[in-house]
Amino acid sequence: MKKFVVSVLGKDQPGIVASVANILYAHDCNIEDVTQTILQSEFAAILLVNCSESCVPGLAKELQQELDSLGLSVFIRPATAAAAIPSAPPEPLVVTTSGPDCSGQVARVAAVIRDFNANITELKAVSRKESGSSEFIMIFEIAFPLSADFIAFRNRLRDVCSGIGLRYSVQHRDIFEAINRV
Amino acid sequence: MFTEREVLSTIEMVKNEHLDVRTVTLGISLFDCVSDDLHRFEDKIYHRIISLAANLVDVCDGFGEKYGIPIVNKRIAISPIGVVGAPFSSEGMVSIAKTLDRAAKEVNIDFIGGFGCLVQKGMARGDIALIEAIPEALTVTERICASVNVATTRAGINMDAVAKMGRIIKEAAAMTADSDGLACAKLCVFANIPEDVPFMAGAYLGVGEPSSVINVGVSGPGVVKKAIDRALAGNAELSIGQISEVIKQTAYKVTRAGQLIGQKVADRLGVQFGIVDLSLAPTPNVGDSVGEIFQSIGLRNIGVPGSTAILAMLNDAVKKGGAFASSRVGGLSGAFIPVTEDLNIAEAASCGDLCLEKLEAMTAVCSVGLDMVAIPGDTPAETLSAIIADEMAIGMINKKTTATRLIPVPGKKAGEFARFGGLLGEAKIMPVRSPGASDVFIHRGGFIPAPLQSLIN
Repeated sequence: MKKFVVSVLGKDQPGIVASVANILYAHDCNIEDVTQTILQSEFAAILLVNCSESCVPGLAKELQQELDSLGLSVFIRPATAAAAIPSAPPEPLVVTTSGPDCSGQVARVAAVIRDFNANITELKAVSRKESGSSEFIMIFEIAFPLSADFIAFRNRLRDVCSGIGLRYSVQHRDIFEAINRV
Repeated sequence: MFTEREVLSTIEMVKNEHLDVRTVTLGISLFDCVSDDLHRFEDKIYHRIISLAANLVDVCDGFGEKYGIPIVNKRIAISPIGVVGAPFSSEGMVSIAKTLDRAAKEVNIDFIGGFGCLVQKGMARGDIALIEAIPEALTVTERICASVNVATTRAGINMDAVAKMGRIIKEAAAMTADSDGLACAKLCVFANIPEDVPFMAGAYLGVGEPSSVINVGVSGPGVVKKAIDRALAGNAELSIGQISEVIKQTAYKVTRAGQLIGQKVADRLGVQFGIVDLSLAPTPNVGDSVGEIFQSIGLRNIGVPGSTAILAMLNDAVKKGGAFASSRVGGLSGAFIPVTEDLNIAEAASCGDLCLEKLEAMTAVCSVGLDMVAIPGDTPAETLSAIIADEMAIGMINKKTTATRLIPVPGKKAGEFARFGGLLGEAKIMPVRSPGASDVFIHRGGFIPAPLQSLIN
């Protein structure tokens, strides 16, 4: 038995998870972990499954056939080994930006995060075009290494964001937790 | 993963609604510094303060950055000087005040409270020396705050002390006449003073407190007002009970921020975490007003009929929300109504909607008292004492804290402007009805006995 990652992408509709899970069950695969999300009308799911290597080609073919007819793409590959636990746990921070929608925002902000060796653990971007305002809001939850310089990070974010006309904020995650959760 | 609403509302509170930690106050006990040698005492207290508080400002600023919630003021509260400095004369007390001022400047904090005493059952030698030193001490120093407790529910009211404080306030005003009586803005007279208030001018570290402790004062009248406005924008017909719920939930959030940051600062400094004081404390900045909350709820101005009822509701809702949010709540914990420190309240007083008598009524239901009230400079000392006595009686009978911070502005009359600068703000001088009509009562002196605590009608 080996661990594989299955990802599904395409038009959201009822029954996707049922189809995928049934096919996996039929091939004797065990779903270890799963996450799914819906972005506007697109569906995306990642499943970590345990199965024997020999059944993978047959599994992939059946999944492709079934999901193609629903307008979805599927992809299977061996799972990567679990990451080593860092010696000092990183600081969880929340970075938000908001401003007029324009191209390059996500790229630029993500580059700053990368430059400080921080990892984006959650990312949500919401366009407010539906409500009439053209504000584009991004919320990055990031793991910021303890060894990195928080003030320098904050200053660089400030410079990058002001260069593209964005308001920004960066704060430790605990404050959002404290204020919004009991 | 936080929802978009949770993240954005938190950020909005900080950026636009003036959510901040109003003060982190380091309480420092001076009881083990006592000496009957003035220089040795001053040396000990100076070094005690600067060694414990050396990193206070930097640590606070660091956490303010990291959590994105500014800690606006860093302050120190010490053991009452009337107690630890009991052997000294008034001249000695003034010298001690200067030493404390020097220490405050050295560690870069903006106020140090505790130049005070507790005299509800009588004035001891040290207490008298301190009280008589107050006018000069508050004139020659910048950062000292003084508080004198003259009444408790258990002991009654010391009317001798009340009479004395009326005179002391006049003297302090006269000595700082060129700054509109600024010394009086740093002097409070209390009934039932709590021992762990982080706010000035009443802060001091009481008996029974540890050697050092961090007490946090949160704030956020702007946050509360905006929350009410948002709720009303959703439904303009909200009942007062529903508004009370909004206030309670907002007070919860504000207090949680204070609790988190206070705990972190205390841990970093290696000091015990004391309490969170969840008072709504306004500043003269736009949008940071308690008075505006009254307008949002539906009064033309604070001070018109309905104000006492609304303040009672507001005070209670804040306490309920805050109490759930914090592991230990203390200090004053309610709503402040300081006239000069709140643009909107000052304006209400200015246009005549808020008068001294209505303020007094409101102090029966809020946590502070007659705070930052500028009155005519020619108000007699006896009338000041009588106003104080009334306020002490409200506190004594209702088993609550009340206080007065009255400023008789030398050379100015009702309707003229008094300006104190910075957080102390400015306002039009309020008229005092019937001055000079209480002299015989005040000259009588003595003690108003403690009230019965059963038969509570």
